[in-house]
Amino acid sequence: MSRHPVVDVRGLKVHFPIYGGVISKKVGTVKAVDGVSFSIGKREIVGLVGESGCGKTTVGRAMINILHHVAPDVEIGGRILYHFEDEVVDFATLSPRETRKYRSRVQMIFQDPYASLNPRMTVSQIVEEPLKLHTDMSEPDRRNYVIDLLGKVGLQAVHAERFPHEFSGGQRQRVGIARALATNPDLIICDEPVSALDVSIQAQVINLMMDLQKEFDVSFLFIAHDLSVVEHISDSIAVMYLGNLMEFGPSNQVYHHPQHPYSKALLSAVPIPDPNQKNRERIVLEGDVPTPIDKPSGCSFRTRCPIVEAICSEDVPELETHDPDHWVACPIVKKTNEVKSNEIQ
Amino acid sequence: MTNTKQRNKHVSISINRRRWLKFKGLKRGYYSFITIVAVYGISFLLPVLINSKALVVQYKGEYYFPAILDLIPGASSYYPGTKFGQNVPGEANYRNLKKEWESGTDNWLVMPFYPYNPYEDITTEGNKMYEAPSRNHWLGTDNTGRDVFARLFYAFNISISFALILTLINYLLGITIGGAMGYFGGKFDLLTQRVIEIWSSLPMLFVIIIMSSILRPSFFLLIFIYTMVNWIFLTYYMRAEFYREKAKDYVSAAISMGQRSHIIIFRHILPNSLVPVITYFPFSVVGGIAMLVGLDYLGFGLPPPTPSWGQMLAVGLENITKWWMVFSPISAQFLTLMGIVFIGEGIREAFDPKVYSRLR
Ligand SMILES: Nc1ncnc2c1ncn2[C@@H]1O[C@H](COP(=O)(O)OP(=O)(O)O)[C@@H](O)[C@H]1O
Ligand SMILES: [Mg+2]
Repeated sequence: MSRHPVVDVRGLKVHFPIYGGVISKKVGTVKAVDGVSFSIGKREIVGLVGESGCGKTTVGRAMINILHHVAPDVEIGGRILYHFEDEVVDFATLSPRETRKYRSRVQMIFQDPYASLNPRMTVSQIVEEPLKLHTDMSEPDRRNYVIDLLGKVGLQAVHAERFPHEFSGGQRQRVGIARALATNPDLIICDEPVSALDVSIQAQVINLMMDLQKEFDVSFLFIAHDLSVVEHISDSIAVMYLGNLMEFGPSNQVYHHPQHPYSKALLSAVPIPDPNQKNRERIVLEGDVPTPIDKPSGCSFRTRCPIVEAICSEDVPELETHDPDHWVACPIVKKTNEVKSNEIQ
Repeated sequence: MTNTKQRNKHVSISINRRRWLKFKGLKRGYYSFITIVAVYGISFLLPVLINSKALVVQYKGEYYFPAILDLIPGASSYYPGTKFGQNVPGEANYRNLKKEWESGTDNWLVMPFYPYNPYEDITTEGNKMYEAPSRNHWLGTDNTGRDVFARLFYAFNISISFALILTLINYLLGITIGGAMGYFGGKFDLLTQRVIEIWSSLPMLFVIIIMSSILRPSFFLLIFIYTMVNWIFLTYYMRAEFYREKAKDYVSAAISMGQRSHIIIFRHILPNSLVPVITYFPFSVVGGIAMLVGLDYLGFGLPPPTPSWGQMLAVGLENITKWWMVFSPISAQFLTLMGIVFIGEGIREAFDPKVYSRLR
């Protein structure tokens, strides 16, 4: 899709089998991610938004190929094509062992800063670990580089020998950012990096991340459930619902002219600071999100969709171009567009 | 100015160091720890403290150190009585020598602080079986005329060593197998769990009794038998700990940077999974001691004449009127176990993240 992609995700599926009974028979499948396609360009920030439980973290973890660790029988389909300097690698088919040599290229910043740092290691040990693995720097060089990185994320040299429990959530997240940047990766997956922090600190950390993104020339997949934050920082936005992408396009297009009924509903829930705009239409979705174990046929959103029609339950809608670079997965939107363009002709 | 000073003064302490400081602050546990460790340490010097052999013998210008040789494993401290001009069959009797040499000779010897050993039958010296405590025999003598005080202390060393070795082997097995189950999960976990379930449903007390009545029990055979039963228990803890820890994000971070499995297991997960097994350690030692006492009491434990509290207790209870035979092993066991339980309590509290969790 994008001209110089760092990663091209095509039809990604992540299914977790569920076992039950005495002899551990397979009794079902959690379709956490069920056909997701998007791409991230060089130095681009793509925001991935959706309600909690829709599969955002699973997309992120699949993209660094660590799902097998906690769920050994996970089924991964589709492609996750990384375009590294001289080779194209598909993480969806690589075993965790084969992935090892590419690990330095893709890093992750985790949601919970309290769980993402080993409580037994000092900050310098934590940030140094990737350097030990992926560079042949000497010990003093590594130390200097660690201090350097800590400075870049707004920590001081005196912090290097401290343990995570001596830091606030915001400071811990800075350590996590320094660790992710240590190997100078092509892509960093930021899994709701500020949602566990105090509101007063969130903006600081986000601004820091934006500065570092430019300084390190890195692409971000920025996962969040807050559309206004994502609109502010990202080049493109992907809207996800129950394992499927509903809409993907340039940030201001998706934010100001959402096409998919789910994106519209999500946006109408964003609080607006401007009191004059109060008359904006507010869409309240009815019913609950279905479970990813027993998804509705066809469009997964159809059970709550305000504009649902009979065709919605037939096929899973594909993402289709609405404008160039703006993709929507909705048969109704597609139909109305076709009608409109026919009228113009 | 003061600000920078304060910042420089900031001392970073690891979690373990903080726990140790907290443990030190809990006086009851800390002093019990010091006492038990000190007494156990000293108990390795028992051959020079409580022994019927002389520390130093000077005989016809030459020096001999029989008691000190007892400290060195494998060294022979045997000197026949005739060597020192004593007319006795077999080994020299140093207590008698001391009396003989008290006047009119250049020869001399120094006896240990408490000159009786736990194995010797002293009825040959005019003593009786079941002698009440006296100045010479602080806790009296037992059914075969052995000194109870000496036996009590040697039994302390054996009990604690037994329990420590047992616990360490159990820990090694339990941590390795339980940790592997938790870390690798899947089929390996499932299979091992079934094996453990079958294994743990065997009536182990009977297995132990049957085995020790067929085979001649020895220190290491008993440890082996107990280990077979006890390692299982720890796997439950370790499996759960590893399952929980490996799902945490710091492990994901280590994997996502390409860290190797063995480093993830030993450097990342293991140090964070040891809290329950460390807090359980003292209680496991208590269990080991109590088990040994129990089997010795029933006669399936260490072979006689090994000094043991259980055997002393059995003799004492057969002759309940000889109060010192009952009182001594019970008090020794009580004090030891109480000390270790205090240590365990202190450790548990030092590892408790809550500040005020102590019942006052
Ligand atoms: N290891 C797993 N085994 C089974 N189901 C899982 C596993 N990980 C995630 N899921 C399920 O996948 C769905 C998506 O989860 P997640 O990606 O964490 O959502 P989000 O990050 O958007 O909140 C949830 O329904 C969750 O229960
Ligand atoms: Mg999530």
